[in-house]
Amino acid sequence: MIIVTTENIAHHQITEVIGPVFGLTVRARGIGKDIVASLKGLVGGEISQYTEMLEDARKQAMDRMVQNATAMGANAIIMMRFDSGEIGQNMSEIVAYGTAVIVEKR
Amino acid sequence: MGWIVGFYGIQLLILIILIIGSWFFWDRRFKTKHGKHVPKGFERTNEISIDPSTNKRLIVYFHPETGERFYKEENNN
Repeated sequence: MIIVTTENIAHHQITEVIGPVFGLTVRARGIGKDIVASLKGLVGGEISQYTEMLEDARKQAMDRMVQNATAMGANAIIMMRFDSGEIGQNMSEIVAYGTAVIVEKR
Repeated sequence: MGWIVGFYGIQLLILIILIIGSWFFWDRRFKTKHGKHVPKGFERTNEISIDPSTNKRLIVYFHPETGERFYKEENNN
């Protein structure tokens, strides 16, 4: 599966556009790490607990998008993007999306 | 007096159990323990992600039939 953020893929030709594909997740930190993160927020610096949460959310969103694209019969995703939002105080939503296509090597 | 201490004591105990439970059991990282053995059918991609907190280098493998992704842990050197 080729995943690019551009409209075209170098040395490949798009033979079929299948359609938009998405991968969505909402993740939260547990209460233990949430308490530590809020204490760290008082003193400043990187809140590694939330960095971990967003990294995991990114991976999961990406995994789901790729799985959906495979189910649609695509072999590539073009114009891939991430979008994020917040649900509640300690939950993060990340959506990965793009256009599922079939490409052939030129 | 005793029941007041007991009431708050139980609440405190539940909170402590929740904190410990969430730290060690529920709040697990996503696909960080895939290990170094890649299952059959997975193909290597060019995607590499370095975990921001553990600094582990993860090489992404992809299964073309199922669409699953596998994160193989590699040495940083």
